[in-house]
Amino acid sequence: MTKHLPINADHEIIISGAGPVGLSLAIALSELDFNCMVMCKEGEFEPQKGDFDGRAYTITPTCWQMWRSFGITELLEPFVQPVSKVEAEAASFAPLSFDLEDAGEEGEPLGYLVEAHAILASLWKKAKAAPNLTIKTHQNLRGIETHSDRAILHIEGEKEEYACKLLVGCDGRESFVRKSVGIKYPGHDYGAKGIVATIKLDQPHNGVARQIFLQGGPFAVLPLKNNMASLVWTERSAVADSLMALNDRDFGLELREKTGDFLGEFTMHSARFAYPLKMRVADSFVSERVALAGDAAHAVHPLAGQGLNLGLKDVATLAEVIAKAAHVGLDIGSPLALEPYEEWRRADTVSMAAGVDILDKLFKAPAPLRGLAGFGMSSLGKSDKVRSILSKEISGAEGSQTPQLLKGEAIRF
Amino acid sequence: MSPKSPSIDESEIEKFRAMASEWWDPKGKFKPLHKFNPVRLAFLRDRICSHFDLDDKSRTPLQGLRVLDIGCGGGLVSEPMARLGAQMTSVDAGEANIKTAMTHAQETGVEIDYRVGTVEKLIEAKEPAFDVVLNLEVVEHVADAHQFVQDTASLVKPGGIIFVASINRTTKAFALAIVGAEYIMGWLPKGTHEFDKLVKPDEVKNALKSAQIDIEETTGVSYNPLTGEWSLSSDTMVNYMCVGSRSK
Repeated sequence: MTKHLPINADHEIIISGAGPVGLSLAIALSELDFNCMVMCKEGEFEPQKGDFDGRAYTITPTCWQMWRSFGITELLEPFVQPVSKVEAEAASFAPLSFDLEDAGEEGEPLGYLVEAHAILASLWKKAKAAPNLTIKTHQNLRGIETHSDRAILHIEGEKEEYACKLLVGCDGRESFVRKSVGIKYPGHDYGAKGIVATIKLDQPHNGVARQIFLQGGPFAVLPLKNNMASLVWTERSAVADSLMALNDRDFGLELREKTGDFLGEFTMHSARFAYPLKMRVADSFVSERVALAGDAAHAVHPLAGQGLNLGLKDVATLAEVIAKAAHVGLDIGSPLALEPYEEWRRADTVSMAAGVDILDKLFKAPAPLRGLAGFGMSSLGKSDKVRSILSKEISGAEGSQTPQLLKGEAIRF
Repeated sequence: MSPKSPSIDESEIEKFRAMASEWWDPKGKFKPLHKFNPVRLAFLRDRICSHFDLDDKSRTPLQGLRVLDIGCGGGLVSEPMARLGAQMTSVDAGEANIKTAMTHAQETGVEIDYRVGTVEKLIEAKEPAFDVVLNLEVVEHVADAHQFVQDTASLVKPGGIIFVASINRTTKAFALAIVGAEYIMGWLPKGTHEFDKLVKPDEVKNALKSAQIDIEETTGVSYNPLTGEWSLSSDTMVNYMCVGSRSK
């Protein structure tokens, strides 16, 4: 034990991880008057200098509302493409399409495609200017201790310890915080990878996001600014690896062959990235003095583009749960205060992960069953009720349980 | 962290630690109380802030107020009130309750003046009157409810405020709070409440009035079995809270 070392206890809440989820949470909590520190490993999350590298996120209207209330969306304006329509097709089967009328929110796009580097840069800018908020970069974390009244972080090469009432792990799939407190992260691997690349389209995309299902899995084209588009191409790992090994010209040829005239004329625009597809949900989102948010708590198949949005829903929920607990004098890091977060978020995450998983399995089934999947999709598409539920799930709008921040409102008590 | 209490024997500390973690386990035996607690805490905070014209935006709006929690149990109300800034004096007749509460407060670093005792003893010892007196879910367990409410009310300062919360003596309360909560839901140990001992809001109000307390309001607290949530309501037929104040 290192009891003799000085304890830095100036912060009620420490957030480990300065990605989009950690920074959004820090900004939300700072606006609620909590004294927070964001800690991140040097160079791990800091925005890289330079331009668009091909990575983009789809943000749902509800999560966009929250960012708007933080003043983030105005910074993002030059890097955003609103999505006016989503079309999901099962190969040759009847298309299932969602458009503005389906979502029910007049004039509101179905989602927003935003370049990843712009998101990180805007959140950093906002976080650096936020009151009550300290950002600290450090070497590797050495260990975490949790006690009945505090959590303590130890950092390699530092004598000082960092104590807080509540430690939030926003430190990604390989979360050090989650591992340190022994929360399991079960799930399965799809044996597939998602290849992400940017193309410049010849035909105007008109803000339409399109998804088809190819042999290897879903293939999505998401509209970006300047008539560019972000591809998310899911393939079995071996195929994905060989696609990654190709040069741009050959990759483009392969792409044309697989998708026919789906894309029209295009040119390759950016570097390619490949991500192994995994589905993981942490056994628990909270433990004594600790909460998990974002990929530290869950990783879902990116089929419906829900990864970051789930994380931002965690942010809105956790901020509300913490604020409400503090409002009535509960200890914000106690199981009593954190339990509603677990209750509220876990069910949503598991159902989302399971839904995406089942949809994916149907499309990967052998030929006769795939027919069934196509049939299922087209009959689903005909049912207004199912369409409206699916639209809501994709656009992120929910019922009365929606956290206040996702409605673009300040937290009321 | 507050200093070690002289009244807790080291050999007993493990026992009280275990009891404290039971009291404070959100999924444990006191789960219904924990579900109910935020609603009544929010009510207390809100009414105290408006009564004393305090800054409701503050993280510690109750700073400077002397608050008595009579029948404090494991401290489920006392600790949050202390965290909101109140200077707490918390009394319970059960020695085990007080030791449990003390152990937990030490562990979480909250300062509360916990005492084994009764309201009669406080009066006998000429305890100075309080800004706020909390008499929550106790009247239904005492021998003479009228006298007990009067006694606690006598500890309210001029200009101070008192809260009395309990379960009404109605058929509905019998069905929900006794048969429902104790026998069907198994939320509370059977025999926690005896029907004849339940006290009606009017009986509480009469006792308060006879101690020169003005009645401010009476509100109900209702449970929605569909959402599993409690909320304030105008229905005082089951759980209710009475607020009174003493003029300056």
